[in-house]
Amino acid sequence: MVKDDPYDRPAPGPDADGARRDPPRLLVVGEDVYADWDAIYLDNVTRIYRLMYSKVGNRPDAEDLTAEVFVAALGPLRVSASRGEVRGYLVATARTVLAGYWRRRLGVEVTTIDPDAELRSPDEPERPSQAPERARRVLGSLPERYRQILELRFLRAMSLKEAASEMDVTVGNAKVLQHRALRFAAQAPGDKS
Amino acid sequence: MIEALLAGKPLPPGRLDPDEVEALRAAIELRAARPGADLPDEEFMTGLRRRVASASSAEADASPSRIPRRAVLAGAAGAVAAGLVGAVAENALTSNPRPRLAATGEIVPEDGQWVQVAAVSDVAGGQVKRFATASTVGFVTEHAGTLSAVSGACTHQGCLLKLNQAAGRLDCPCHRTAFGVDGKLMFSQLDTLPGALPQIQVRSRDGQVEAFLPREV
Repeated sequence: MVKDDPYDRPAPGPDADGARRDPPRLLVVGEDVYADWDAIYLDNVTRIYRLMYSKVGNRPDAEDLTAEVFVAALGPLRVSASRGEVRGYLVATARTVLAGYWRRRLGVEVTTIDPDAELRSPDEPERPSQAPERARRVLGSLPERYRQILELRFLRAMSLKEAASEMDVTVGNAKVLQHRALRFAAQAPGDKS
Repeated sequence: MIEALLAGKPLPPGRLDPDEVEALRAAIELRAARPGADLPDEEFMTGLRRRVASASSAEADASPSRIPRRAVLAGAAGAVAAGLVGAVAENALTSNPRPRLAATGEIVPEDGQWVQVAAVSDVAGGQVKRFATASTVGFVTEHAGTLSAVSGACTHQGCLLKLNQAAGRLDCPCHRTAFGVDGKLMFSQLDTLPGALPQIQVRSRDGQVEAFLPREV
């Protein structure tokens, strides 16, 4: 019987788990491992940064938290760990780093990272974020005035004054409207549809 | 708090009522929803890369027993709470390095000539351009005003690499192996890690990128 040479096997996709379960034949092929820490950094930094940004919503904090994740992982994490293990370890570290940030900053965990959900998501660091789509759904479910104030302020980046003038209300009214709209949005079933 | 968020500033420390926490959560979600808002800043990425590089070389110099295992596991206690990730973390701390082949240096043909391979504008701002001549396949790019080019053949078995634009790397179609556009190996499934891609000499001339390649016959 002619055995397949694994070198001639069609290239598996980046995460073709099925391929990994093939019994080894002429060549023992392991899981992907990184060449060095620089490679770990380059392959993961965008993913970790985007994850943190989605949890804190601002650049300076997202940058600090991303740096904290890599610095915290540097000591214990071995370069020889497989690519999947590295990703898992970084996400787990991100989860504890984010929890620590909220504890120090506000005493309560406003957002959390679910490592299982993160690791189930496709291995594409540059994949477009799902956040705009989710936000559209949340905004779509709000009463008109609430939707309007949030769109003007959050998506079109208008100041309170500009938004108030656009909606033809006082700045004080716009502020109250925004507060109510956010509380309403917090209850909206944006993730369920 | 919301105004700081809208101004793109770090969140100020404080204490919030439960309904304010919910409003802040909604605000964060909306703020992160502007298309492209979550893409990292180039300067930040470069700075942190340098920091990680110097910290990791300091780690490599230190003896492996410098960090007591117990302390490592305690540090990762939060991580270990999740079963799956715990197992992953445990493994990540203990597995053995794979052997690797030495880097292969630079391709400098004995009988070479400068050949146009791209326009300077093709590679401006770090874009990557593939080129192919009768003798050589390669990828040329520009970083911080410096042109560079690497061979486009995998150092394992010579399969021609594919540019993965989104991830900024060169993927081998034959085995799960990827190189940075600077030629450095990023990751590989192979038991012996392949060496870095050879560099190819390049220069800029009259708005064109030229590579020093074997003379065509």
